[in-house]
Amino acid sequence: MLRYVTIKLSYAMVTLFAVMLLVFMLARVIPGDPAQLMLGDQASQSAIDSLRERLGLDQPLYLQFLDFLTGLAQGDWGTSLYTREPVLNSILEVLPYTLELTAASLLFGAVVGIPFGIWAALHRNRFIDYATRIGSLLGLSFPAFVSGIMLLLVFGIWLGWFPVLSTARGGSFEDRLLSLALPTVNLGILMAAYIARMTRSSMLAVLGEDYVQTARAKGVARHLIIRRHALRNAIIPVVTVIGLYVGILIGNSVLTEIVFNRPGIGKLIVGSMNQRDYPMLQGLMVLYTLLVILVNLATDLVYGLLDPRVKYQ
Amino acid sequence: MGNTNSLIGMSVFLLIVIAALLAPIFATHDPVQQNILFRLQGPSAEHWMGTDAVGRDIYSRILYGARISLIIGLVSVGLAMIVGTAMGVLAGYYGGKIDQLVTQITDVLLAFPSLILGLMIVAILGPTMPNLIIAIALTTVPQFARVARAPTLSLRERDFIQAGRALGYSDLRIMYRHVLPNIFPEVLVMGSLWLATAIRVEASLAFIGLGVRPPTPTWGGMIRDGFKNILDSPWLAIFPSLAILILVFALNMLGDGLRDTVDPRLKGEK
Repeated sequence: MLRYVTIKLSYAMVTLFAVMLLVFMLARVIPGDPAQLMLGDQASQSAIDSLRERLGLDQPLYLQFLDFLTGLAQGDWGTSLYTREPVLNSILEVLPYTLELTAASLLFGAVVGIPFGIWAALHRNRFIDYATRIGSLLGLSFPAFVSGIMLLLVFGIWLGWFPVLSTARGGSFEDRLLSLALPTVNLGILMAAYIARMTRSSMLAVLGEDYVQTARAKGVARHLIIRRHALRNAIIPVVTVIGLYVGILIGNSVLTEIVFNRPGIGKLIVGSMNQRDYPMLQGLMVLYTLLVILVNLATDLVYGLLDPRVKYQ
Repeated sequence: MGNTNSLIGMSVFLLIVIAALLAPIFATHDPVQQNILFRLQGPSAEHWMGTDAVGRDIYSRILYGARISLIIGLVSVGLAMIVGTAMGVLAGYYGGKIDQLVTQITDVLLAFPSLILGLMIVAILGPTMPNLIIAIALTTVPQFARVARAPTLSLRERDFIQAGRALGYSDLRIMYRHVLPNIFPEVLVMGSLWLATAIRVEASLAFIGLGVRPPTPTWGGMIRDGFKNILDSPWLAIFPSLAILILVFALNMLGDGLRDTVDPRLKGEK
């Protein structure tokens, strides 16, 4: 197990390093001098030069990259061009909202997707199977902002069941829960669709295995076969899928946050894009990469725990 | 079910392609012609899907908007398919250092959510059609590399490939004439599924404000504008939303059905 963890960890480190290099290079491709951008059009040449020196922009690129990495490791992610606040602070301030939304929709996806997947697999080629397959295909087809607008229109505006304006910040616990509901469903639709499809096909594969047939031949009760023999094995690939799609989930949270006007990383990213706040964008890219790599690593580890065969590969 | 699905998906997709190609014939109005006297009107006999905030005809704009979605989607996925498949086949065929390099590159690209990567690239390069195509293609390349690599790895060991080698065929010839035709069905299935994703990503970028610049109508951009009037004129956002949903759903049906046909073992997996 230790060896498995070490290998996975070293892969993650290589990927992380490569992405950092990519982020660093991308930030250097941006047209315009960062010092000029920070000081504005009116700045004198000497002021720009001194800021360039202070930022280390007169150093060779590999030294700048080294500085960039050291800064990241020490928690110095740069300063926002717009708010003049440290980038890391601004990110950490809104990160909980995005994580809260992501976790809730992951839960929604699992709670809806797994039972439907099992149900469909147990009734292969019957109505519920077709319905689940078409329904999940439809779920995969919704751009997150389209489903968001439809949910907002129907349940927020026409029916009035949920608040149109988010009260994610402040408000009572119930208010917060109520305003989390629609965004969660919106982001969870895609997840539920993926999970249902994966559970179904994984369940079908397991139900055809010899040991399930043997259990059936021995006369083990149907619900016991499903719970003890089939589901336990079928759930392994589902876990990997959940891990793989957390990245997509984080991407879609951007659109969900815009539609439902929730604070979070997504709103921050769009805001800093409009203000051409490059240090902030760079920091957000680092954050996304860290999140995705961490989730992938966690998935690999959980996979190793769930399925003892994996670590010997 | 696979065949019916792909048939329905294909028909709807072709209908949309025809509608986009013949937009000048089917459109009832000029898609960029503003008419402030008729702004924010609901659906009527004159304007089938209503008018937007500056009086442009929504129905005609949706027809023309389909062109942008389809061009960006098809070109970017086509590009990604060529580059990604080439990368995957090379990696799988040669193995060793090349394989490691390709796998590492795909892992790095896959570490980004495609929407975020696309967003960053377009934000930096600027929202023009070529840049959008590059951004979406770049996020899709690793998917094709992955799909092409795995079967190439196992094909490499097969007798007919070994025989080709023994006959002194060049590597290029073996890859092009013998490996590629064998993996092509899978690559094509991926193509239709990722076309759906590419169109979704393009619309999402346009919704965020990173689409092809106005006045060119794009579905995502129309929804973005419509969202501002969601309380009093919901049709502004509803009709283009339905258009995207129908196109993406059709492509997913097509890809899903094709996959069942290509590989019955995977029935309904994703």
